[in-house]
Amino acid sequence: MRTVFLLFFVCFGFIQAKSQTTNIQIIGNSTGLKEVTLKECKSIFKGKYSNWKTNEQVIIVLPTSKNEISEIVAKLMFDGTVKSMQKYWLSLVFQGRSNPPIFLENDQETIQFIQKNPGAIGFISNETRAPKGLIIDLK
Amino acid sequence: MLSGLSYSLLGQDLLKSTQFKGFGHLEYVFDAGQSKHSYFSLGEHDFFVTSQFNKKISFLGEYVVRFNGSSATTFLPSIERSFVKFNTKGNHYLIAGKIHTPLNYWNDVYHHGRLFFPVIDRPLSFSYFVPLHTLGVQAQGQNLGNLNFGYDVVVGNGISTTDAFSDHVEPSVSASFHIKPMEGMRIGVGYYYDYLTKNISGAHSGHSNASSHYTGPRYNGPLAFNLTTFSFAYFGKRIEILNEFAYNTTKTDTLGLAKNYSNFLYLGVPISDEHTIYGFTDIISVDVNDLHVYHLHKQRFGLGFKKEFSYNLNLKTQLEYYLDKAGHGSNPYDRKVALEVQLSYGF
Repeated sequence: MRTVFLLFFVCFGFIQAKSQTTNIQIIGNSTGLKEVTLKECKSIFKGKYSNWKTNEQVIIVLPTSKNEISEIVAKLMFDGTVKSMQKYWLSLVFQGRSNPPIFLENDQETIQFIQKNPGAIGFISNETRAPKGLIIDLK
Repeated sequence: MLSGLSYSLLGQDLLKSTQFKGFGHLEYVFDAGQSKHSYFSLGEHDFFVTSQFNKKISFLGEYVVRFNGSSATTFLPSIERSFVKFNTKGNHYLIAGKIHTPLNYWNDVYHHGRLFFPVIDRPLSFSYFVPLHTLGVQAQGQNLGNLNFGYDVVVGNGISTTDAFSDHVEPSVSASFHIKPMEGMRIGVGYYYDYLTKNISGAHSGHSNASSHYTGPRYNGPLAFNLTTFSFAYFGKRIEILNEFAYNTTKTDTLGLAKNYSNFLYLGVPISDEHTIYGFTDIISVDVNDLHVYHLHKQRFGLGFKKEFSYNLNLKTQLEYYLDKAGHGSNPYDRKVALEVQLSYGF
């Protein structure tokens, strides 16, 4: 019985994480990435890298608290709330160890910004149609 | 503010962007020592600027205005950090300018941002040992390999110098290394060496030859200053730990080698997304034959509570117990209890 319960909770957790990833999609410009694992994606959005293999500078684009996908991104990438995501980046920038990310309010702004800036990477809702060359698959 | 800045960036070239931020804090202190007193205090106010010149070169500046009783306006500005950072390759950088000496976790992460401090004040060692700033050049690497290895090697003006002058040839040298083996954890060691020809504390020490507790004639001959540090930091969802250990030696021809140490230990327990209860111990001991800081022994213990109203506003309330013994061994400890409240913010 205990094993059944454990199995249920493991599956439930997996399904929840999976459903969150299916609500959003990653887009990037000249990042050299066509697909990325969840682990690698977390590292990118936590500021681990300065440059892409394409030699472009990594520019992180994150949703503001007003953005509809902010809670999903915060949960998925930072394993926390929007507040903890903002706090994480404020601290990192203040340390001088990373350039500030760009916070944007909706999918249109995100697409527009990423299209204009090589090296930029961010999230948009799955319901929004992304320009084909920008989509990065989450494995 | 973040969203406002982002709007302005939409139609612009990101690489010409400049961002401004501010940090500050207010305090209330009730000191229940021998001469009881209580007061409100306007803390440091910090103007923080980042800018990018091109894809590889960026700038960071941190300018602080703080209370100074000897100033006509009772406040004085200071440049705390001001440097240009060049991304040489991957996660490797060259930095030139005034930095916070990356010797331990606290000095490398929190700087002047009380918003980020886990407790109200810095560890005691910052008032005596830790050379807060260096003006010079730095090689930096970060997030290298699976352990997220990082290094910082700095050559620059030492403890006795100012931001514009040094009276001797030898620079100070520091090197620190850290790993981040898991999310929220950072373990690091650091070493600093400086040779002070006249034993003066200048702009970069963060302290001033025992001005508060030693009133006798001061040694003004040469002194070799070594500092070794070890930091362990873990900030997780259920527990927060920060330990800052420092071992300092000073050597003079007059009294020989003095061995000093300090240790700060913080333990926090987040009880919700907004609330953290915490405790800390802080101890510093300076040898009787030390001629830079001069003999002292201090301890403090604290219990506190932090309420985060948002990611950029928090309130800390802290009860502290101090044991303080300065000068020669026969002096009894001064003891006192203090209640401190700090509102810190960033915008």
